[in-house]
Amino acid sequence: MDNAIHWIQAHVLTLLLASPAAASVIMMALPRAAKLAVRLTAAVASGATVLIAGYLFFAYDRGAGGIQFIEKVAWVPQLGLSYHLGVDGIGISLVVLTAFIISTGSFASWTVEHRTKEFYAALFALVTGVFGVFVAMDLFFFFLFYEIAVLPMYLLIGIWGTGPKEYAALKLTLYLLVGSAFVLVGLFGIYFYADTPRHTFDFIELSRSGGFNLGLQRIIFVLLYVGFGILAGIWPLHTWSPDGHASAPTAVSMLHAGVLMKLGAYGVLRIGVGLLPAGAQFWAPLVGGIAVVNILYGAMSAMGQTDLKYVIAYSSVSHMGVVMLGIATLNAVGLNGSVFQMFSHGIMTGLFFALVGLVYEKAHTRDMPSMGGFASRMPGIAAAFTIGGLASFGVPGTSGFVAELLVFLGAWRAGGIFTYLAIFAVFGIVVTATYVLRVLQRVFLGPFKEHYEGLPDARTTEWVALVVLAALLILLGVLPGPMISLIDTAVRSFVP
Amino acid sequence: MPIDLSLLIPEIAACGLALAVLGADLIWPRLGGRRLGIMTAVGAAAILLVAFLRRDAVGVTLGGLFIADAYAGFFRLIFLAAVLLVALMSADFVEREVRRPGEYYTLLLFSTTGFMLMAAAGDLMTLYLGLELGTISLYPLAGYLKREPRSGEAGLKFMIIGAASSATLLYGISLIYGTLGTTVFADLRRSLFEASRSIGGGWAVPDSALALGMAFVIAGFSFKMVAVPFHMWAPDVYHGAPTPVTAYLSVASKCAGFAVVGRVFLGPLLATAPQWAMVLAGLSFASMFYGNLVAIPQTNIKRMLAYSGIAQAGYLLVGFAAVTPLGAASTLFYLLQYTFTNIGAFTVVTVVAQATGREDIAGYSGLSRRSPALGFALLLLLLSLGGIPPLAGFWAKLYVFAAGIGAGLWWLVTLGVLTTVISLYYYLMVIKQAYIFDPVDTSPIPIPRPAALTLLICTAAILVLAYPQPVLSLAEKAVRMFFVR
Repeated sequence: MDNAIHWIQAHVLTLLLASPAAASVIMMALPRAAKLAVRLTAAVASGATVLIAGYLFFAYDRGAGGIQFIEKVAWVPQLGLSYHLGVDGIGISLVVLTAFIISTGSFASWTVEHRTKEFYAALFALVTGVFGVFVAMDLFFFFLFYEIAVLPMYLLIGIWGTGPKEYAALKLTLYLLVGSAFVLVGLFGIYFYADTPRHTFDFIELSRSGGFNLGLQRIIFVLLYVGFGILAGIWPLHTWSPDGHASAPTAVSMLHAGVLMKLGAYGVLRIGVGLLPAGAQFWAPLVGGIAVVNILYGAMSAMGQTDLKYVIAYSSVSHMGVVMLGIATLNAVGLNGSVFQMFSHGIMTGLFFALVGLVYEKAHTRDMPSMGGFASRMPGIAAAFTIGGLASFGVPGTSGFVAELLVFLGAWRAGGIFTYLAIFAVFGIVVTATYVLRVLQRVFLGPFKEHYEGLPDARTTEWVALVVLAALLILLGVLPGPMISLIDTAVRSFVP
Repeated sequence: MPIDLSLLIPEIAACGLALAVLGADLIWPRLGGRRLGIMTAVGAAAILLVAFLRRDAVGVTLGGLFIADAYAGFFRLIFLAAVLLVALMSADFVEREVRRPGEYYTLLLFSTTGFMLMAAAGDLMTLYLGLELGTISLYPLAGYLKREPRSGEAGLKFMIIGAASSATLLYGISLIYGTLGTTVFADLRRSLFEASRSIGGGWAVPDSALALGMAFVIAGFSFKMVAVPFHMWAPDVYHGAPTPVTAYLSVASKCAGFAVVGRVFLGPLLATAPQWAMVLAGLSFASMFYGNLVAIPQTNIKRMLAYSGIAQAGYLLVGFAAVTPLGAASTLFYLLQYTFTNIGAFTVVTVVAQATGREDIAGYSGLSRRSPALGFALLLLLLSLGGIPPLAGFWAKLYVFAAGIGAGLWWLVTLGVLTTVISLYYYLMVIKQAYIFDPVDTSPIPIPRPAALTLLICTAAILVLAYPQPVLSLAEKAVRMFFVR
């Protein structure tokens, strides 16, 4: 028994990857008609990931900090390639985020009737890739999981999407694959030119190396920034994201906007800033500038939309700007804010997409001008949307406030051009407040449109996503300490 | 030097099996294509096992004409695996479509024998003979469906262009012989390295006749590798030939081309690497660029796979153009996984064509509903061709790209990575039909049992090769002797 517990403790990250992977395989093996069995498998597997994520969150030794729960097996020794897993505070916070999103997303897709088992199988294959990216400590496995996280998206949007789904799916896939091509070349650059005793993909060995040629750092940082940036939705390479998110089915939008875009930001932070500090230093003003364009452009575009889902999709572009601005500050406060914003925005946008999915399912439209007064018929959904909206423009007491405050403080502290960037970014919050309040007004408030008679509120399993995610937003706003202290242990290793 | 025939056991056995299949068909004409196919496959499996167990039996025999080394052994495994898989997947096709099944399998096995001899050649003439035996056996196979004009056209085209490429190759060989006075690899290698040393290790081509000879040899080999600009026969021949023959052709003939490029250029001509490496890099660039772009508008899946094969030749060449042990080993690894992936893809094409009579990509709509297993296999195989992790094709691309960058071929690898994205577009187009579109005709597609076994082996192989270490070690061992001076 002790042996078993010890084994589990030693392989907890492998188990984290194995549970969605195994679920995916089991679902494929189940008969087509056994929809309930498929859904239960999804619930059990995502529940397992929540438990493991919780274990990581509480068992991580914050005093010691650094990378923990390490597992390492040589894979291709000639190439210096190993199956190497480990997490630090940033990794854990994003693993926790992913676990929450996939478990609530599984419940939010409970009503998918069309090819149910394939849907969940693809979804869980994707989640395996996402977890893999956050726990991989080998650049190569990082890339491998990154690709696994991208490809199932094609099928998920193409088959179960709405609107111009084939176009959106193909656009999204090709954009992200172009991004991964940049990333691959960048990773090869690190592999071949890093100052290590022998070529290696091992993240820890690379981060201990003496760094390398300044000019090369600058070139490689750009490659990685563009490659990962496509996934993070940086302007002007973001155009796949509104189309993709708007066409995707609910759980996929939740996962994609909530977690996958963070893969991009995480890549820039972990590899770009972590391994190429001089390159990051050199490009920081540009990264920050583009981030502010993201914030403003995303918010303005969101304001111009009439399709509810496009509003949320553009708001993601805007919020990812805050994440990237935090990274560009390159100081502890800004980085803490950036990671906290990744978490906060993940939960928030997950909640939004779940809500939009519910509204669409019940009202059969996403066209805002035709809606109105829904709060009287679906008070639960309206309340959850209000909480998400408040977090979105950073009202104190919500997680958004903490995240944005930290990022702007960090930008202020970075000084120079960042002072001005912070001022512009704060203006973005005003625009955000405008479009969020307009959505609330058009969809939920005002007189009820009679032709939507018989509109029900959320039911049974649908409540799970709403309650859990909305509660988290407030919990993090009131009590950000435990999360920030966790993130802070990791951030310390990025700043001198 | 005594003649040690035990080194030739796999080749002799393959030849014997070919004759046994022919004899069996003569004696029992009612056996039929299916049983003969299974007999061929079982025989090939037995030889494969023997070849694998005897992989350490190395040596030179027949007065230096035949070299049984790790390199030859690696290609033996590839060719035998190819004929085994193709015989299996052909079984039902031959039963239904072909009147004289015995000759079909016999020709396949002769071709395999020829390619195996060629990979083990110790001399330019043996190499040429092996290559011709392998290729000439394929001409009648490409035109095997006599009632189909397109098949006849494919056979004729293949023969004429094949003959032209052989002539080119032979002319190149004669020029090399004329300059250096020998066709034996060991002697060629020694004299070229000595010439290189005498001028201080620099460019070691003593005169322009040798350079011309090398150019002709590369051109001759490029026909087999299907590298641009020597590719133009491939789409028509792939399209017209019976699909199982296309499967064999697309794999074995291509592997043969790469086997001889490695054998000749890394062996005797290694001292002149600075000259030919750039030519190979150029061919690689052109193939990746052209193959991937022209594959996009194809509407017939066999033509699409033909152009994808041209592009794959480009990726394969990156490894050889690097002229490093890792590069050569990664090309060998690539060839091995390509064998399984491509034969698997053509198996799906065969099964679908038999059930629905369609070879156009639109005919694949709703495949995943009509046959989930077939759809899933096609998904995995195409994604592996496109280099998506963790499948075998991804590791293959990773290795050749890593080797390319290690050799300073940044420009080539950048193009390679970008064209990989392009290639995913046309692979995804097929996947879109199979998974996203609803079927027009919802009748299920049955998979004949032998073909199902082929598919199972192929998909299992590309999944197992996600742990590439053992095969990569084997490939490294196979090319090691080229780089020992």
